[in-house]
Amino acid sequence: LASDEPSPEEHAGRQARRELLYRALAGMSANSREIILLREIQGLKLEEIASMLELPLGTVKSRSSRARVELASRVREMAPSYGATS
Amino acid sequence: VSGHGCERFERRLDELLGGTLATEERDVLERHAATCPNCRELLELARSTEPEAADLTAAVLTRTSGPTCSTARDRIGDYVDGVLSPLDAELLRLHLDGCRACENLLASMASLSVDLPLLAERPLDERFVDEVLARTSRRRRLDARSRLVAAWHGLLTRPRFALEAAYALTALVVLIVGIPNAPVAGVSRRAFEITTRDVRPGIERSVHEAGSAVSVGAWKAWETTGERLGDEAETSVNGVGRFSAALATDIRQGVGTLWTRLASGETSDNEKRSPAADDRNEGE
Repeated sequence: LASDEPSPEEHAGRQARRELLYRALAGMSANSREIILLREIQGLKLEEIASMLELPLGTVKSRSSRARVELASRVREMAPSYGATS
Repeated sequence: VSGHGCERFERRLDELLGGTLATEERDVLERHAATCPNCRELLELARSTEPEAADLTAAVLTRTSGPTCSTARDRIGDYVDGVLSPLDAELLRLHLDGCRACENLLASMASLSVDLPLLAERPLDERFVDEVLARTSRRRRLDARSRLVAAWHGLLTRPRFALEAAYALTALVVLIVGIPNAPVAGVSRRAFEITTRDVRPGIERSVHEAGSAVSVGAWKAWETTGERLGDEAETSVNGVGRFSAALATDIRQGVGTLWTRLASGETSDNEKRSPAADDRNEGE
């Protein structure tokens, strides 16, 4: 019926990447997850996050930067080929 | 204050040397250099070594970096986003050329910026709504669906609500769509209650608090069930496919209950039908 439905392989691939990301996120601190959730998943601007969390912009920036690096490192540890160019 | 000024100075050094800055900005930087020995030295060094670009870069590198990988890690996110200043980007590239670990990190971060948004499936994806409602109440599908969409639309476009709602919604959507094997019924009810309470006029509840409650609930839920995912979770395509299919019913039942209640605009059980009964009716 729906023409833009992803193929089963695509769907499974996405699902596998989601699983990986959830597992990596689960090991992070609540603060780091919160930033990832807002900034990377929801796509909010740093300024919006700062006002929402009532934190200085600089704090949000550095937290965001650290959280991304941490997540990337965790994911890489769990799946060493993650992000490798094919 | 001086740290911020130094950062700005370093960021703008290229333009200062190239003479491309607006006078006002140039004055600010020069005033800073006049009072900051480190930046003055950096400026003098940069000016005196202008013809030898490689030396200049090395000199700047030694002045602006602490432990090099640590500095690179601080800036790699901005680099991926394309918002790093040209000078810093150049310094970072030099580092990446010689550092395998940071190069790998960069590759992972680039992939993350593609994959992370996948975790936020759109809450109003029409097919998703249809599927959920078809599972829970085929007869009332159209009616319920239009009310559901209207409810969400109203909620999302309410002034001042969108930003706050984004937080709670993300948590909610991540929770109900993305987390396999989560005890959806329990946590979704909490998410649902928080979300609907927030829409009521006059209640200025802290959304940060609400969002945290949801996301903490979600992650707690995930963590307790995450163990059970075990090897299956990081597996092959086939494994994941089977795994997802087996869980689909549970998740849909929980989600269906939530959405149906939301669609009917109330939390009472008046019209609620048992998801199990729907499954039986549907069986084809």
